[in-house]
Amino acid sequence: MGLLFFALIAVVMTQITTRTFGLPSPVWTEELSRYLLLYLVAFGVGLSLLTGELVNVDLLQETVSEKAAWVMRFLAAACTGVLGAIMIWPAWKFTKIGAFQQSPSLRWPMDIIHASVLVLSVFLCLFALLRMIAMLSGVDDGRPQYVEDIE
Amino acid sequence: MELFLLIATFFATLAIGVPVAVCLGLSSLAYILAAGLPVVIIPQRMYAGMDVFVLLCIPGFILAGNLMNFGGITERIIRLANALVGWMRGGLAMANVADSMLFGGVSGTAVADVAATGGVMIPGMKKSGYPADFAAAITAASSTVGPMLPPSVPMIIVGALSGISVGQLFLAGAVPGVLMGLGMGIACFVIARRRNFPRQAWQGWGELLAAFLGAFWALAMTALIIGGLLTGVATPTETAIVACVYAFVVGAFVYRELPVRAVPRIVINSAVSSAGILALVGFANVFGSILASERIPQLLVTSVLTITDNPILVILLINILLLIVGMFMETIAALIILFVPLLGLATSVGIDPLHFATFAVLNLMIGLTTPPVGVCLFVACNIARVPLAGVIRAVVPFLISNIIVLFLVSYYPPFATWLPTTLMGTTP
Amino acid sequence: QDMTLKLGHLANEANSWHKASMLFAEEVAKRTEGRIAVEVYPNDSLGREIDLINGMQLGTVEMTITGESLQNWAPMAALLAIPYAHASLEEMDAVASGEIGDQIEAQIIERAQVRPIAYFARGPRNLTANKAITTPADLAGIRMRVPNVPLFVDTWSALGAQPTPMAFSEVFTSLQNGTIAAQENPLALIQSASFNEVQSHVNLTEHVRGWIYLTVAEQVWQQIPEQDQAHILEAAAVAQQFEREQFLKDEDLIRADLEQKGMTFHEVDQAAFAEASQKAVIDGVDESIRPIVQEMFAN
Ligand code: NA
Ligand code: NA
Repeated sequence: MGLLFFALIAVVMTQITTRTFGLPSPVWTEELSRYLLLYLVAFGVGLSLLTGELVNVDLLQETVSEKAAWVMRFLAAACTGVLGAIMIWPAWKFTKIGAFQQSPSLRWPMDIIHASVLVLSVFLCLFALLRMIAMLSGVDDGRPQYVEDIE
Repeated sequence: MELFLLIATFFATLAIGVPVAVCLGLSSLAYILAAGLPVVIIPQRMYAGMDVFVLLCIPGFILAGNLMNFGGITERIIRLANALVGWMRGGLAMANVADSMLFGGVSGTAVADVAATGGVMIPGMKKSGYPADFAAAITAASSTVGPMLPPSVPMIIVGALSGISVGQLFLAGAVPGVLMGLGMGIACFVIARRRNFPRQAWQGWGELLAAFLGAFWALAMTALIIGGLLTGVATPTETAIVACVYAFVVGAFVYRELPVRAVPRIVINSAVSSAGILALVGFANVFGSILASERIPQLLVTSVLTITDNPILVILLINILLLIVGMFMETIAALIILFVPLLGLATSVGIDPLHFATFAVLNLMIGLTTPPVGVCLFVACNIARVPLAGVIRAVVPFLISNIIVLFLVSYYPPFATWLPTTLMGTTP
Repeated sequence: QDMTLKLGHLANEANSWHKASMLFAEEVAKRTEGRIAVEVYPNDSLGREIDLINGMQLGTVEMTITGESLQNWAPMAALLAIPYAHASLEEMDAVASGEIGDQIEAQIIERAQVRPIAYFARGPRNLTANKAITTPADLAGIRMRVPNVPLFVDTWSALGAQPTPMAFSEVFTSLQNGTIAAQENPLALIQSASFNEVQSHVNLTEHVRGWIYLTVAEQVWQQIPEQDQAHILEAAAVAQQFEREQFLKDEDLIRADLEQKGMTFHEVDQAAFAEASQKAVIDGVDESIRPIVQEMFAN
């Protein structure tokens, strides 16, 4: 994921530099940066579920008992898992139709890129399942886990 | 019936604390199944919603903010802000507003703005003794000034949708943007008195000069971004990436405080944050496309016209409608679905298109800081690491101030039309 | 009513494509006695062009207006936008409705699973800048925006400019701050994007004359009874003719409007542009269509 981000920066900087210094601008930078962004989301979405960065609205949870709140968080994880699971098959269908299409400048078969949504669905489902298992075994209380500060 | 299911599922899942992105996905799913449509709509529309070049500025500015945080840039800006206005009560809160107006003059989207200024200002305000929820609230609220000041992604989209001149739209947003900033500055001033927020003693001109010199490279970043834009080196979206590179270079080689070993982790954390926001944009696009295909927007327009065709009432109704929509939808999706039909409604009762566009965008900016779906609010909460409930309470005064500005702009068109008319001639 | 066809397209409500789509919907309802309804969604409100084509393959949307973007599926669709392939609208019509047009349509149906049922002429693409550009020599070193189409990059490089691909949403600001100095688009788009505020000259290069198709998803088309297919084709023909009249009228109105807003129009040495770019165009197209392109240039 970090590598995807570095690649994204490199691609955009290539575009800016070549244009600024009057060098021939590669035609594929805009395209490639969009594709890198899609995969950044696909690989990051699972972790963002754990860190709460998919944005939970915990207003109601704060007003009920801790036990009820635990059940609600478990249900929330289950709902997420269900959505991810249901999306897998249609995402596969969407991936398959990409094979008939080529990207305009890189001439890549688009199933490679459409597959980013498949990866996203799988990760969403997988991380939701992981959280449910961790909650049942008592390792995790299901609250957002903030990433530790880097000192 | 299917529509009822869509709304009911959304609120039910939202209530138990399902992530908002997933709520949007699940309610769309419920609708699709009930209406007998193919589920493949979800991955397809989600992909379409995320495969957009301008979204690139979101990870760009999040990373730039994080790099500035760990590269010693944050502390220097705060030192300067303190030296500059810290001796006033609530000075740092006002600096936060000013900061957003400066950043907003660069970034074009409010979310990128929260990420950039929030990553710096929220930890800074916490360190200086402000309550974390207040720090998050003022950061979220002030970020909405950004897209009112040029450049502005929502204004570019409005121009593309309606054919209204983008240049005039940019200028039309400027005065309302400044009014919003002033309004929030006044709100900060009042709250700071009442809640007795921290202030430091005036530290003298020497400290101010030292702080300025220390923060020089940090300040130069803003100058570089604005300069890059004005001289045409980078497009607004590319600017976000330039900011990352600059923040890295200054942090690692000029201030020498950015631990290069830590960079990969900073990058990964920024990627995870961005992924969450972008997934939300993707699911919002699925949800929005269902509303569009149900022709909800057109339905709204016709129902409004059956109630009244009085411009004053129509403006009121449009504003109420947009405030409600803004609570539940992402700005770009809301614009794509609603702007053109509402513009038709507005012009049919004699409202100037440029005036309409300005208060409509301003209105949707307010929606970025309202629960339950206020993207800026969420991002600020994440950065501040506080529960949403407290931040929602803390943001109320700024919402009120922004709504006052909204009504001023809605009912006094020259706030929007004066500047573009003066500088660019008559409105089309 | 047996069937609803959702027709999404990118143009705004004032555009001749939209007006023709609305007429098409009316005609279809009339001719099929209400069995088939067409709902029109302008302004990309149903999705953007590529998404809509994907949607038509997946069965989530039924109709769209699309053109050379189809070359991502069917290479022959590149022929819809070949620089300097047609000297006039009549010449283009002869190709679009002739044998080459039939071949293109057949390949689009086969590879992209969408069926063209009518075609609309597009306004010729013209080059805007802040100075008059009447010969390729005037282009030297000019940074200009082109869409993400490699053939366009090759063409403008051969002409001596410095083309840079850029998303359309960034073009206005980039012209304003000087990231780029020129861009090329049909007059209708120049008007709707307000480029007149940041560009003072329209150079009538007319470098791409092309057309675009009104299309139905092939899997939907196969479900329509034969007699209603015929009705739809009649309605499409009516819409095509209406669009042409509307289009010609609009081109004049748009030019007048842009002139009134302060843009200066310049006649351009089109022959010089055509000659200087021809080799790059032939080299730049897919091998499978190169013979056809050569034939088009030969005529
Ligand atoms: Na701020
Ligand atoms: Na801005």
